[in-house]
Amino acid sequence: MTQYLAVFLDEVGEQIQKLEEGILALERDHHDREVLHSLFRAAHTIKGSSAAMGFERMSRLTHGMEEVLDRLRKGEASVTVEVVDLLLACLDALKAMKEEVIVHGQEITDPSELIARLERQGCRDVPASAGSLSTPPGRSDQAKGILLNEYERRILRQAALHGVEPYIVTVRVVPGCPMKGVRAFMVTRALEELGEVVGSRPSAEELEKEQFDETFSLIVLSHEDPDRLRNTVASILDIAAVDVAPWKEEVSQDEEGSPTSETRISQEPRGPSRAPEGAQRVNQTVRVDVERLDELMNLVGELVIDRIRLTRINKELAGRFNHDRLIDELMETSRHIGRITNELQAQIMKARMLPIDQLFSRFPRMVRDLARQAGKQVEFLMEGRETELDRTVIEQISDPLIHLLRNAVDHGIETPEERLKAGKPAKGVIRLRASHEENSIVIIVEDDGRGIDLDRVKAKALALGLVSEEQLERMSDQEITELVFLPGFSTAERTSDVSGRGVGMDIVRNNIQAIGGSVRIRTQRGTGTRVILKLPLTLAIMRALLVGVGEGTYALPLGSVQEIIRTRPEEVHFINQQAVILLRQEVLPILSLAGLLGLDGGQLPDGDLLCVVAISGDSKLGLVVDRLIGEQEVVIKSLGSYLGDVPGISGATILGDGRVGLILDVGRLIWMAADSRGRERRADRGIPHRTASLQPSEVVPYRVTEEPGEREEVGYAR
Amino acid sequence: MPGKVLVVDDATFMRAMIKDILTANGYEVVGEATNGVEALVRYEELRPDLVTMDITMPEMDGVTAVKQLMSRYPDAKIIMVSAMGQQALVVDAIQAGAKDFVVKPFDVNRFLEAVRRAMG
Repeated sequence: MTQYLAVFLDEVGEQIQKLEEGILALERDHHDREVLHSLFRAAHTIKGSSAAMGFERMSRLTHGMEEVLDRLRKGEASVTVEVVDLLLACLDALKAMKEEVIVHGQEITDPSELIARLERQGCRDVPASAGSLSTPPGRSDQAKGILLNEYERRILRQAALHGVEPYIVTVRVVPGCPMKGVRAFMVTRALEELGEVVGSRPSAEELEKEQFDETFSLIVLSHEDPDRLRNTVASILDIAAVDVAPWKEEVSQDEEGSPTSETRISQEPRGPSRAPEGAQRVNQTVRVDVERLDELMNLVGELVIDRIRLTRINKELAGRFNHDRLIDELMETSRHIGRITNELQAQIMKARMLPIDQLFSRFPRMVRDLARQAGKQVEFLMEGRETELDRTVIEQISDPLIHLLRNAVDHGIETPEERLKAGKPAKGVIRLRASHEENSIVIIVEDDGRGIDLDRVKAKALALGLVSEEQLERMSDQEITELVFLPGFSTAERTSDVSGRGVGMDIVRNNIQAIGGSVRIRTQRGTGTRVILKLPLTLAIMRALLVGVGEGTYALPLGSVQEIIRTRPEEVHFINQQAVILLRQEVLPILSLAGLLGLDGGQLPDGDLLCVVAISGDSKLGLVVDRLIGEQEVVIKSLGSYLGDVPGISGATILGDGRVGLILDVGRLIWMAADSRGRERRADRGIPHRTASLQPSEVVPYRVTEEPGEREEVGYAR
Repeated sequence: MPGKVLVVDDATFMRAMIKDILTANGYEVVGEATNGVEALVRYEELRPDLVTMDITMPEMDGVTAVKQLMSRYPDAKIIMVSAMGQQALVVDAIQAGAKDFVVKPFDVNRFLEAVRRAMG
């Protein structure tokens, strides 16, 4: 059985998903028959598979669910809030069981209480298959106990007149025969093809309800000889024994069914019970271990690196020996390898892509539960569920999205009363959208709630000492909004009991930036908030701008590069010892990348400055570099645990010349820049005395306390 | 006796299991279908000697599929693969012409016996 476990778990997962979606749909529309049917099917499928796998608890629970769903879909009972809650509780138990099967190899959750509730809900007896309580007489009792009613007697008398013999066919099914009622039906049906079944003991109705032990008898009128009758019945599966005897009412009273013509049907095992390995599959899909895909991606990464090196060597050779036929051929070949590598890379990346629905599909339930607990009415809409994303990216954005949705419910959407007072519909709308934009994925979490309360953000930021009043005065609304991303920030007076874990907006931003994405917030008082996440398609390979600083080469993710500018020394101004330039009416702080990375003291070089305008979210910073090397695809390699977390560096890559280049973490660099400036200013113990319109999002210092246990507050300001 | 079988079930898991059992015992699974509609199409195209038919499936359930199959191909040999609690549906299927049934979770030997008899 174990060879099926993976398939089983996969499918249970899918069915659980269907149940979840279905139950939520049911909650919206209590009368959706289609949904009831699909719910029934899902419960049914799990029941069958889990029973086959020997997961008896799961099977019992889904059986109970199926019973209730069956009544609902037949209209014998109606959907109520209570029913929906019960089904959701069952769903949770199923999920838990599935996890338990994964971890412990068996279910641990006891479904008894839920099953009892389901049975009460169904107002039904224990299902027939659980065993019938009535104990009809055994075979011999039955044979002699047959007493015919008037109708049957009359038919038999008539038959006797026509010379047709009545037989009594006594049948025993194998012990534990599944659906013996149906077997009885099949026996009856088979005999009816050979004659007429006049009566039965127990009655046809009792047979159907399986109200018999293992034996039942039929009175049959037939021209056929007894052997024929016997063989016909014996050919039916699960029939252990058949006895055919001429029937005479008075004889049968005291004579037991004669054993003369009893046929025993053997049930010997036939063939091995386990399937061999390597059975052919007709399916057009293959399930592949994710690790294997990762490994493949790594190999392709290596190939990409070599391709880049090959191109470089080629160029050098071409420069050295002009018009050499061999070099031309090498060039051609390496170009071809380049194309193939690109194609290979694209294909493997595709294979690693999953629809974001994998992640999204768990949200409706979560939002529903949150809304219920918060006493809010929320309509949750999702778009772009089919958008595909690298699975590692999907894993990384799970927590941030959960947090954003929780914020939207807890802090964004108002209570129904508040909403009505504000002239909005009582039911709030939360929208989750995913879409493809060029080389990135954009996910938007949007609510039509009260928006972020900027006054409270200001108050909180001041109270926490994150900014000075002067700084606040100079900040635009957008910049004040951005304060919620500061570590430790939260204006939520209380966290909802569902929040669970302490992640704040700073963690959201960190998580997203760590994978090369960005976060932006747009909010309007009274009308709602929109959070926009921009994510890379994959984490394995990215396009980067290579720059040189001193001896080293650094890669800047292209997504964080806005533009490259050359600045003359006289264009550089200093505000509070901070070098800035004016870029299209905007003040842009500039810093030497070498200084920021701690390579030198941070003095700007003499002469013209080469400045890369790096952007993360809504923050910008001009990074002064020594050289521009070019744009190139880089394969991201982790720095490894021995180097650990190096501030401002997110990884490494191998360059065309075989040397290692460091990949810059732009989001982090921008914060580091802001932090160092803040520190300087604090050292000045001063409030800036100039009134120049510095872009405050760049000068906001942030608290350096980052001990893990410190952030207990959750949520951002509303 | 070897024979060609069409396995109809909406659960990949059940299909894989049934298929393994059959293959291991000398039968040839010539096709699979995940619902009744597909079963009809596949039957038409493959003309298997036997069909194992799940009951609860999307699109078209197994009982309806049996009815339609039998009306078009009166010689079709179909075994129902039922779950517990579906007595009435199994009866319907047999009335419609299904040869036999097994109940999940089924005993492998019983299943093979049903297959053998239905083919015989």
